Amino acid sequence: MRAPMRGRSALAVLAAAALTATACGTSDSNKSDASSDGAGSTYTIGVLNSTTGELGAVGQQEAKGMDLAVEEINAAGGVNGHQLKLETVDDQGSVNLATAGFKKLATSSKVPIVIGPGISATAKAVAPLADQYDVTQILLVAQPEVANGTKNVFEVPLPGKANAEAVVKYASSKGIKNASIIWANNPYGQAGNSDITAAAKSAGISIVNSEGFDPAKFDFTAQAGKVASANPEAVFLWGAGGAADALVLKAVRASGYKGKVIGDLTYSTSTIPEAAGEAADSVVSLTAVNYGAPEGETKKLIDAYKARYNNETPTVLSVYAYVAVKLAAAGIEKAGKFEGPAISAAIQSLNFESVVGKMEYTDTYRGGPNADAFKPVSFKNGEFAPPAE
Amino acid sequence: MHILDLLVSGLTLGSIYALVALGFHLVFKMTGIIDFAQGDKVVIGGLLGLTLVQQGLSTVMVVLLLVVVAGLLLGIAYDAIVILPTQRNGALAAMAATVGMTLVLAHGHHLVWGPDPKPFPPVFAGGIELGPLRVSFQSMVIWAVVVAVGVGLALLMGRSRTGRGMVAAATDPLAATAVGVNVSRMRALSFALAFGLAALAGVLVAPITLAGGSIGTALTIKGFTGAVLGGLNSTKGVVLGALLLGVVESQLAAVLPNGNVDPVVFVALVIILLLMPNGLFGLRRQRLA
Amino acid sequence: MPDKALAVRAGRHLAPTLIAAVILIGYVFTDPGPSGLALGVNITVAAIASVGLTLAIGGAGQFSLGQAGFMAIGGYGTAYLMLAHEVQFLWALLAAVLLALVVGALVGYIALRLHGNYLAMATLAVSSGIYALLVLPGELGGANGYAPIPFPEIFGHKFIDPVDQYLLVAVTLILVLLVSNWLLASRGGKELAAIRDDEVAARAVGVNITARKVQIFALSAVIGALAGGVNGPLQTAIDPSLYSPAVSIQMFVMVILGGLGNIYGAVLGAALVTWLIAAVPGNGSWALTILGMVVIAFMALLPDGLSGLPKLARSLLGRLRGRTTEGSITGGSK
Repeated sequence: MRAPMRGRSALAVLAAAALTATACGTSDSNKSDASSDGAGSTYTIGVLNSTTGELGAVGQQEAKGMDLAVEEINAAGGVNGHQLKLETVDDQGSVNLATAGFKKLATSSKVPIVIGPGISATAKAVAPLADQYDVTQILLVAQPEVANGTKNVFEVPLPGKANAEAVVKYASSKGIKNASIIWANNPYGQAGNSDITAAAKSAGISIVNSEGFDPAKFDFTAQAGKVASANPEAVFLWGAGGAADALVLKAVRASGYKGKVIGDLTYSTSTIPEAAGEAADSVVSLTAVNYGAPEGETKKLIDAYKARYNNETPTVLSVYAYVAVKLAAAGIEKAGKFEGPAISAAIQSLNFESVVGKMEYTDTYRGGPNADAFKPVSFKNGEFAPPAE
Repeated sequence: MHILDLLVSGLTLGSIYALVALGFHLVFKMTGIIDFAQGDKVVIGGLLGLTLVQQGLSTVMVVLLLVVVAGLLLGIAYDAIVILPTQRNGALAAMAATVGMTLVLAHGHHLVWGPDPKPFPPVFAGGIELGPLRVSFQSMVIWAVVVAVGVGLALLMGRSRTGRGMVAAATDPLAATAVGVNVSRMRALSFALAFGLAALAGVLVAPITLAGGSIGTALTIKGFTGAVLGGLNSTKGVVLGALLLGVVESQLAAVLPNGNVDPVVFVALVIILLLMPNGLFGLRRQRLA
Repeated sequence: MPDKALAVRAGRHLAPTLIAAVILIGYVFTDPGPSGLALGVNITVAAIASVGLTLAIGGAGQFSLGQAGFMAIGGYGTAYLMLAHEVQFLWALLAAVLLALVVGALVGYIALRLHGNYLAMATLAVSSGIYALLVLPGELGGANGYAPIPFPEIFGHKFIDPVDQYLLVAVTLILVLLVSNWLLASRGGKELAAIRDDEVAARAVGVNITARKVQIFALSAVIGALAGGVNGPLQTAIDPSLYSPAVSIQMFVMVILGGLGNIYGAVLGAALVTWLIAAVPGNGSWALTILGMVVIAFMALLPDGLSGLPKLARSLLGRLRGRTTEGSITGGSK
């Protein structure tokens, strides 16, 4: 408390040391990365995702899918004779860290292509940078409007809006005339609620009520009770991709509701039956991967993933990330060189066929495949199964 | 009927808050410290329980017992590492250290167990049905534990010699030392009990909240809100305040859009702190500091 | 004693601020590249907010765990006016900062009634409440984030180049340091320190406690809003997670590590925390776990934080000469 001026100056010197240390750290990594890039035998793909923070589970699932894809590609001889390598920056779900991380990948590591992020706010912050730094970017968000209108940005996930249309279409095919919506109060769920409402309106299904739930909570008796007392023909669930989704499903059945429950793709993960128990057998999820009756490429992917990861079924997010790496590799191969704009042009012209549908990009549309790519999936005794009827 | 359903779920929610609030109460009354890591300790308890279950332990009582013992030991370590070395630098240093501890616990468990919440098998399966109203045994056990712990703590602190020594140690450490109370042993005991209680709570609530995830801070804030609502110094007040908070939250969620409940609760906390600093059931007027 | 301590605390001279300014501006000439500059922006923004928080915590002994709430007001206020109403950057920033001033003054009134732990919890609740409101769907985008915010533009100059962006926040930090320095040296600053050291005694000698507490919270909020408001447009997108209770706790940690009440220490604390979170390889959970351990170690060994290092050195020297010094955390420890 009685530090004389001498002390203050010492402090300032310390500050200088700290800042310089940071500067050195950055320039060091500059050099080392540049030299490994110059060696030329490995193509480094940048990855920007959140493996920690509140949405850490999202990034970790994505990372598993990407690792598997890279291993498969390298085992088959790489891309144009080059082995692939991923350089991952964890943005922790923060906009500040995402923009800084993108600049690091684009300028220090000098990667021409970045995969991720998979969270909408960080994706929005980073997308303009892709054009600024001439880097190809494959986002893992389901909102085409983020990528549309850019030169270098593409999306793999099937748009949330298409998922909503698929849910409503499935309900119509079962003769549903009125329904309730329970949606996660997060970006994904908020968009889902308005998309379902719009799709239902044009399909002639009336929405009797619409309830949000906080994915960080665990007691959903109130929302389920409101829906049960309205007793609609169907309940549409729009989850958050977290543990709360299953608890909501469980609460809906516990409230005594007996009608149809139709969920978005977050209701097609193997954790749903673990946490929701028997209630899982009565949900139909419209999802991107045909878990219920897998065949061909889909079956191959699921088997490879299970073999690699301790018998785990890949989540939709893992599959999207897997497809993103395969799409990147196909783009690099077609471009014939490892350079942002060339890869972008190649990806746009590929019409890439994947396990989640065909990636048909144009100058104006940069989102994933449309509503027809969704498949209905349910559970039986805790395992994936096709819907009962 | 719907209101009764909400009342049952509200009481269970409130009981979860009460288990956190009792931890705040215990530590505050015996040491004068507010422990910001109280909610995170509950999460750790749940994860320890999950690990035991995954190791194949299926006897409920054995799991609970082992977790509580682990909690008591962790509490002694917690006191030795976090509180003892910092408290001599002032109460605020100790408080800041507990804030540091929330970071260690909340992010450390992600490193060990992963960031996503994990399903936890019901500790007590089944329930009873009263007409359309269904009450699970899990909820009833949690209610019973809250009552038992509340009564136990009230007796311990109000009646027993040890407990009075603890309270004396918090009120005036110097005078307590003079009459032969071992202040640092009392403090270690309070933190051991608080961690043990949190660990027990963790296993009991994990089937409802899931184990792990990022709910530690939320439990801390809600538990604290319940505690000051009833009056941080009164055992009965803390329990009633937390139960009231749970019930009000559940009823609010039925009439308000879900996202509006938390802002309303937080505004209420500030107003209560301003207007009724001793809480609804506070024992006596006391200056806040 | 208070007089001498205060004069020193305020740093009478501008030297430290000048040195800080030289370092901050000089950083540009070390060729940090866009990624180094982006890290510089993040550090500097955190430093601005934590200097503001330091004024409340260290300057007046008011324990606040809600700085992120004020950053949110600055960030969302500025972004909303620029995007939805096409207001010029500086005017938008000014309006957002004025709003923060009002909210900060209200929190100041809360601080009149609450102390220590209770104030900490109340401010955490205020900031959690602001966060919960921002997550609601609506015009501000909810948890989906708010974008695209136009880049800031001052007198026709658009801040797109990473160097310009860094200089914008660096100059803001230097101005904030100058103002804080001046404030702590003024009569008002001395009265604040008197409140911190002994509120009853301060009242007895005629310090207007109400006015001072409300003023310091308002100023602290203004500086927090400034940090949020400058940062938002630079990132072109913001979302509530930038202003979550976890961020408030990180701010608190920066101030604690810097040493309560020392604005330069707060800058160092901000640099250390931000750098640690960005630099610990691969995994943010490691960074935050380590950060928590650092906080505990500091509270045990170095309660005056980084700014206590010179003092620790002197006390070791002093001990050699047979003098004793006591190390106690600032303020309310009694």
